[in-house]
Amino acid sequence: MDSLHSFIKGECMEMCPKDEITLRVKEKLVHTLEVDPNFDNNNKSEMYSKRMVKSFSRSAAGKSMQDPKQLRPTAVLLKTVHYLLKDVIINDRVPWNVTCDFITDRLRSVRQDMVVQSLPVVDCINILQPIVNFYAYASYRSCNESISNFDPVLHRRQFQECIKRLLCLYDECDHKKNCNKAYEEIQKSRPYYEALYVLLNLGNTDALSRAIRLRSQFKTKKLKLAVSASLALFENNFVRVCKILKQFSGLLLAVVCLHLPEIRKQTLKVMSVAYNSKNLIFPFSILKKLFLYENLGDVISDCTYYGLTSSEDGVYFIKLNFKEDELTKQPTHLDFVNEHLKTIEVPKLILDMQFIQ
Amino acid sequence: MTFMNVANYLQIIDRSWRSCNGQTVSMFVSIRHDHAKYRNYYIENPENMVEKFLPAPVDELVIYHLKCLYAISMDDFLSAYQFQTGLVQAFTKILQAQKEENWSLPIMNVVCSDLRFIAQQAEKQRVGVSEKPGEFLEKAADSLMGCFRICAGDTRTDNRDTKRKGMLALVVKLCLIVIIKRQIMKILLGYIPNRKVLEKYNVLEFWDLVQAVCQGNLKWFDEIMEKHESFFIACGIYLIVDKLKIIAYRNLFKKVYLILSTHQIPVESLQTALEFLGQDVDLDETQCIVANLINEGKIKGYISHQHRKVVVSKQNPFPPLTST
Repeated sequence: MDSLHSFIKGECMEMCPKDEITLRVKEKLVHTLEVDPNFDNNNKSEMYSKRMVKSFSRSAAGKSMQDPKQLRPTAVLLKTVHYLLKDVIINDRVPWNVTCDFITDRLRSVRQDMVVQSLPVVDCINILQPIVNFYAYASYRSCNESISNFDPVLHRRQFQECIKRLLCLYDECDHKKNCNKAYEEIQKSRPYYEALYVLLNLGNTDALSRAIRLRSQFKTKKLKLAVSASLALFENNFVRVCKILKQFSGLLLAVVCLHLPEIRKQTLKVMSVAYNSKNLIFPFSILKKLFLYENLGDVISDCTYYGLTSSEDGVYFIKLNFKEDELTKQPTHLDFVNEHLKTIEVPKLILDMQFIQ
Repeated sequence: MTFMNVANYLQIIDRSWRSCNGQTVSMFVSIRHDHAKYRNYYIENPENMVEKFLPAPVDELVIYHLKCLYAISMDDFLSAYQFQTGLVQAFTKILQAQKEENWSLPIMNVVCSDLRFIAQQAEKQRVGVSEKPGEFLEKAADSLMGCFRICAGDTRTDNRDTKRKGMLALVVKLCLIVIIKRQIMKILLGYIPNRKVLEKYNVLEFWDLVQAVCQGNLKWFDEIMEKHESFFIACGIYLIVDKLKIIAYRNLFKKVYLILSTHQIPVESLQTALEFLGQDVDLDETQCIVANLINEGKIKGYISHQHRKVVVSKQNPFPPLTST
């Protein structure tokens, strides 16, 4: 019975296990971001060990995942997460996509250590919360990148995986009657992450049903706003979705704005039916205002992309012209979101409780 | 492979029944318990065998149960449904006869949820065109209501032994969800549920909802949604109910159209109507709502943004919902 209930306890007190440091230094597999820029050639192993972080590797035959020396306990994992999201994320030595890949990989190995050791629920939640926020930040910041630098599908899958695991852990907390301080802290940040989940899956009935069923103590202003936005999309009330959308702040705003291309496509599709006429035009300026376009050029480009013809001032909505099969456009950066995010330092945006509660 | 032999099985039931062990009996009359997977329990005529081991009234339950297993093994859910109904009705009588005790409630939970399961399977197997869809489920619900009445009526017994404890598990889950979802689906498809049906299942909340939707009275609709929010959420139907809103919009706009008696309805008039009913919407949002109705074929016509008018078809501008 014991072997079923006791889990391995990590013994590695550094961000990276010694064996891995030796191996990676020997094989020249040290990442640029793990090298001290002011290094001194004479003291090689010193210069790495401080900055090296255990990298992600899949479990494979013949490889033990359960060696305590290779696993980091909760405190070290938390330290690693904070190091990555406080120090590494703001570096200007490499382009953003390199930083993003590096952090994603190292956070993945954090999650792996967490799972292998089956850490207590509260520890897992404290580790996962900032990770989820990093995914939220990265999905917005990277949305302009080319596909060779950033794969939105893969990123989104990991994002969903993390946030779903986090929500499951919250549910587990519900079943425990513990009332210590750590639990209280978690209850405070929970509504924010519940809202993030609703916004990540805007208009999705499963996510919406979950949020609606939450106990009233979690239904904060933020969560209610998220639910009303999602409900508006569920009702196809696109005008209202965009109105609500502007009221979010921080990472919630960044994540919800990633849905704009899909919302605009659906809108244009419905309008091609409802405003179907060969003679009448619909002004670009109104589309720009209602659906949060940055400039008229973007409106015209969207209309043309989906097969609609236009005159100088507006678009001709014709049912048969709308090309539904065109892939939805990729999300892009928006000035008003960028302006807003600029006002907050990145590590704060991700780690500071003030922006989360 | 065999499970324990049937004689042994019957002895266990006999002992558990005598010692008022509802939990154990419930396991052995469930179609989902392990024993139901073994062929030695598929007996076409178990009467003689069972009566040898078991006294009345429990013998009747077990006979129905074994017959039901036999029918399921033959993949005949229509007969299985008949037997399980017999089982539930026989049990209902027993339950009624047991004064001031509630140890048999676990059995009720099991046989009732089995009945619902079998009814669903029977729905899939129906052959004749003459039978109405949902008939098995509705009849199953009737049987469950029988149990419910007994539980609900057991008011004088001491709290510890009252059968009222069984009400919650029973009806809220089984009846309401089966019946109500169907009713709401019907409204969405343009049918108005019969008041008697709603009355019968004690869900008159829905009658108001139906009235509000029919009248296009969005204010009333919102009030009902708010008042019964937790009920709708608990039944898992909140989002389906919310979908009724679009029908309320359609009915309201139809009224505006009839009052103005014009084929060119100013968007402003529609917005005024919405605002009057407590909806916080501007012209753009009103147009968006109309656009959705046109897109779904619930209004025939088009919107002219320049004139801020909805131009509706001269023929049948609001087609009956049953046709869309």
